[in-house]
Amino acid sequence: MIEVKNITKEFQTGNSPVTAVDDVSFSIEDGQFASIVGTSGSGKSTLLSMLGGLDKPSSGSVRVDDQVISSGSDRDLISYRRNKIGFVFQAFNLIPNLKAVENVMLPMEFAGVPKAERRSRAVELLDQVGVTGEKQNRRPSRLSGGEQQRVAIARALANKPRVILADEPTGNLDTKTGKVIFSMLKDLSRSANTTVIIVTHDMNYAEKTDVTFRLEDGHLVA
Amino acid sequence: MSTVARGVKNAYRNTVRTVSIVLILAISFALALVMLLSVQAVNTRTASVSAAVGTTITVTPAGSQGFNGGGNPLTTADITKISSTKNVVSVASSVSDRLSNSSSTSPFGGSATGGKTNLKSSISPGSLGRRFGGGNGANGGAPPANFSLPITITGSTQPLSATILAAQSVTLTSGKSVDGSSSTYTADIGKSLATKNTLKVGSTFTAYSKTFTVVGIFDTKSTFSNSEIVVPLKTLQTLSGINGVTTVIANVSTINVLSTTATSIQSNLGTNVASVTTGQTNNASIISSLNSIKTIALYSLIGALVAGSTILFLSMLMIVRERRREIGILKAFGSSNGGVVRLFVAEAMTLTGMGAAAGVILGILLSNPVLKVLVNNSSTTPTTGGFGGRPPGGGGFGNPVGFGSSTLSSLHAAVGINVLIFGVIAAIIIAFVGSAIPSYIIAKVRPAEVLRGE
Repeated sequence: MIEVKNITKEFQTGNSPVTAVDDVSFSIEDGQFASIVGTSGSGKSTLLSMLGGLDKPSSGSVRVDDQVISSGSDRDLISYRRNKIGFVFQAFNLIPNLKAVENVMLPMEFAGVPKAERRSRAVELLDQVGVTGEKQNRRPSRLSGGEQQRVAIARALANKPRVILADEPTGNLDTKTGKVIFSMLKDLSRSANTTVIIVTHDMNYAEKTDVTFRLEDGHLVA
Repeated sequence: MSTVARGVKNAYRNTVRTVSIVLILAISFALALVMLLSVQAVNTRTASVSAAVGTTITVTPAGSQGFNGGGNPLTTADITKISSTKNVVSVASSVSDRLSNSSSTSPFGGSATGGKTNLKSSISPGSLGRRFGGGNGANGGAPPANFSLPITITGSTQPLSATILAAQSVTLTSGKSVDGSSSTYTADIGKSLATKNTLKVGSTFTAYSKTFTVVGIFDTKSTFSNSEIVVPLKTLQTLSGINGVTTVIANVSTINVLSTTATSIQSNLGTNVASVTTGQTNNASIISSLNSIKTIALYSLIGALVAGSTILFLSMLMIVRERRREIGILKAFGSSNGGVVRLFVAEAMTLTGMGAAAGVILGILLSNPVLKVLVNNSSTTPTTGGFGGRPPGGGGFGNPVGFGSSTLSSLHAAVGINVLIFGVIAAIIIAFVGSAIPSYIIAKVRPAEVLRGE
């Protein structure tokens, strides 16, 4: 279960502070497919960063299962990200000089999974998301946008995370491919009891999730 | 794929940049290696020159020059003054005379009391010898039928001293050394003279109408001193009638006090009585030139290492900054700060390793040509032999055994295992420092900070 209590995030822009997320509280049950919607600059990506341990809130707390990540040390956050979280980014963020299969193996390397096991699981995951055969040995630049996002999803699943955080996962894809990726994430929450939280500004996708949080100027409005 | 393997792979991501960095590092390493080899070569040569200078001071009568006459022998009182000078640990005295062949008519003379011997010199007279020996014409015509060059006989308290024989070393090939403090008619003779006159240990010969017994045969590797006779000092003083000595060799405790002690001896004896010289005096310009080469090489070595380190540091700084987002991604998926640093250190090690390998090859190829350029630009070496030759009062035919212009021109740089170890250690330090610092600074950023830009 994810429990967010009164979190606020402030940035210093020049001489004036900017509150990107302002006193936000909510909770998400295990295995739920949730969405965070809002206009550009509403603070949804910042909120996602704090849920994923990529950043710390200025105040408030984030609890994931029994772990309070908002007050954890850098070492704790690294361990949290490595073992409990899988990220999917809008721009895919694959390592350009690694093959698809090597990109998927990367999080497992950080988790200390033996090399042979890493490779077989990476191949299995890529097969699962539909990147098969010799495409698994291609570098990202030789894959389509949809294929790259599939590789990114496989990478996010590498360490069997409890939570998948997807920041605008369909943002760089055409409508048809976007739908396929969205379905893939939804199936994931259903089949593996993985909590999936996606950030989107597309209400068509948001309406198909179990729960939606709307952010406006850093405030949660629904 | 491990962190190190990914780091190595990253080194080849941008071919143009990789080649550029490796090339610049190779030049830097090559220059550092060349300069290191130059410093080593100069150090070795400086040590050998200093060793050859030794810790001896040569004192000869003022105004004398070999057998050209001039000056008065040094007296027992003079020797006492020398031996009592501070830092002098021992003295060896000698007197030299020349013996002519008893059946030869030579203008080289012998002593006033009749220095004659039945031995024949092992040195071939040549045209100059024939000219000075009484031959006709500019280059000497036919010499007298019985002509033989005079033979130098030296009486010494230290009979087989290399300094007194003006040699770099003296080896006793058979027999033993004569007792320098005795008054016996015993002699050590040079190897060439023994061969020429078919002498062995136990053979006899005549000089000053006395019969001498050969007790030892020595080899100095020098044509001239290998044709000499060495006898006890008192024996020669008595037979030649020279009342005193023509050379005193003073040994000092260390090379550091050589110059000051020489000055003291000169002051004690007075310039009208004695001439005091050291090998150091004659080698000052050579040492100075060597030191100047060493200074240039040392500064260049430091400069090359600093340049290499700076180039790598700036390159890695640029690379690390370019990959900020990638670092954020790695951290998002669980990489530690240490993992990020290891990744970039491995990349820098790969680049540096390639640069070092190319630099070593380039350095080995360039070391000797560059050293020659350094020598040519730094040398103020005299064009003739530097030091060497018989001590001024010791004999007629100088024997060039020392160092001269060849000291610098013969400098040779050689790559030893210690140089390669130094190179490897320097490369590792440069690569580690050049990559660890920038990557550590970047690795500390929060992933959200570098990923926010998308």
